[in-house]
Amino acid sequence: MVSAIEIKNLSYSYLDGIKKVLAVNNISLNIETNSSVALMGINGAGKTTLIKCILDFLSPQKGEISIFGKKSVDSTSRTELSYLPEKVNLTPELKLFEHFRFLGKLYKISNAETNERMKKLSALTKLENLYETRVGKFSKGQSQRAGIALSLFNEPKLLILDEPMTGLDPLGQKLIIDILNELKNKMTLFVSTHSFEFARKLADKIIIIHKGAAASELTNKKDIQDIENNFYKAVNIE
Amino acid sequence: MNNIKTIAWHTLICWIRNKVYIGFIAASFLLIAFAFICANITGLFQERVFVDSSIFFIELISIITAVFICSTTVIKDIQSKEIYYILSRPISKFQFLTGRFLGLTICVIALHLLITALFTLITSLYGFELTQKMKLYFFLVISLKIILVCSFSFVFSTYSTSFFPALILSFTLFFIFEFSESMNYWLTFYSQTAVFMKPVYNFLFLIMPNLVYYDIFYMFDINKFASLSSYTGFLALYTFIYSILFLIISLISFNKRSL
Repeated sequence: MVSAIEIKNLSYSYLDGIKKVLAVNNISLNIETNSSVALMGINGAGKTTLIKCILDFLSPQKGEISIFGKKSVDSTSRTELSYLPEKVNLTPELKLFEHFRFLGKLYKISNAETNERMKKLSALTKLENLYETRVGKFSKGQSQRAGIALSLFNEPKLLILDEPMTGLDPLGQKLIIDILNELKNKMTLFVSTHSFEFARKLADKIIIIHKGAAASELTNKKDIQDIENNFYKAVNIE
Repeated sequence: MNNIKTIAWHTLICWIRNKVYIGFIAASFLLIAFAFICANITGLFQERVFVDSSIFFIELISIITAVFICSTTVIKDIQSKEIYYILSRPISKFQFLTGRFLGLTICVIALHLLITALFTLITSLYGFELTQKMKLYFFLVISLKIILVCSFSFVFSTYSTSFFPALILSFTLFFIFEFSESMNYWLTFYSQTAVFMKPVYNFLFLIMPNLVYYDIFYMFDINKFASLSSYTGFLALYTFIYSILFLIISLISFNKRSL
């Protein structure tokens, strides 16, 4: 079976003034199809940089990334994936239904099918009454829910989430956990998170990143249940 | 092509609903009204005053809008992180940039045509006669100039990290291109520069876009073109070549940029 994400010897560095910072240091990962993987690490460990490399927002100096067997630099590799960033920034001038139409056109989906998906996803994320509202007027929670609805629009096989719970109230967090639990095993989930509880509930595999390198990979249930100790051990904090 | 069209539509809708764009429309209407009031106050040569000041105002507002919108859009996309929402879809950077550029250009040309429509309405209501050159100037030449200004302003949008330098650089480049003929003349004939620098200036001014070509009245005053059709054909080709060139530079600059 083709891996959802395959990363080989990936390195990415950037210049901070005259100092070269190695943000991702020779990482190799294999994310299997329909698995749920949590990416953990302290702030500045390289989680978001790694995700940006996967999405081709950054060009790594070394290494290769494949998404369902296609090179990440090929834009068609993103047909079957969706990305939900830490802070969802949708086009504020567009109404919610226009966002769905926009995606419908990009994915070449008919208007009738777009409307059907819009209704289903709006019901799932409790946004049914906001079709005609401009996204710029949404609250943070509503924006995050709209982000989830739109990220599921193309029925992705791979969903990449970067700290999806940040800044959400308990209700918003519960909604995200419920949706992700619903999606688990139906698609590949690759989630960057700081929450041990969230990782424990969701992940079949936890990757701990430290100083740009994969410090540890937890795959068995016992290790995942004991994530706190394993995490502190991996990042050398007592 | 479908993706480019979709991004262009997205860009157009976003800007048309943007308060800054609406502000530019309001400003342009006020300027035309101002030109009309000035023409009425003068008493004599009403037609001349109205048409000449309208030419100035229409071009001014169109250029300012083009520079402002085109040199800030991609920076805004990156700063607001809206770019992640778009580029995480199956869209290449080439499709994104081309779509953005087309959308922005259509947006500025739409504003220009709107002011021109108001201007034409007033001239027809008051029975002012417009020559063929003037009609061509208002409906085609300024539009072509807008495309060129949009294209070089767009380069800075993909290169700069904040609005202010992008605006300053775009306006600077506009003034260099606008006055390139005079600057070349001054540098090669009157300045105290070293002799060996003169061919360098000549070469630089030869390869850079010269916005004097968009001054239809001057071009025919100096008998540069035999007919209006040869002039418009030349201008369309000139605009096309430089716009493609600037779009390629934008793409190179955007590809090197970390998002």
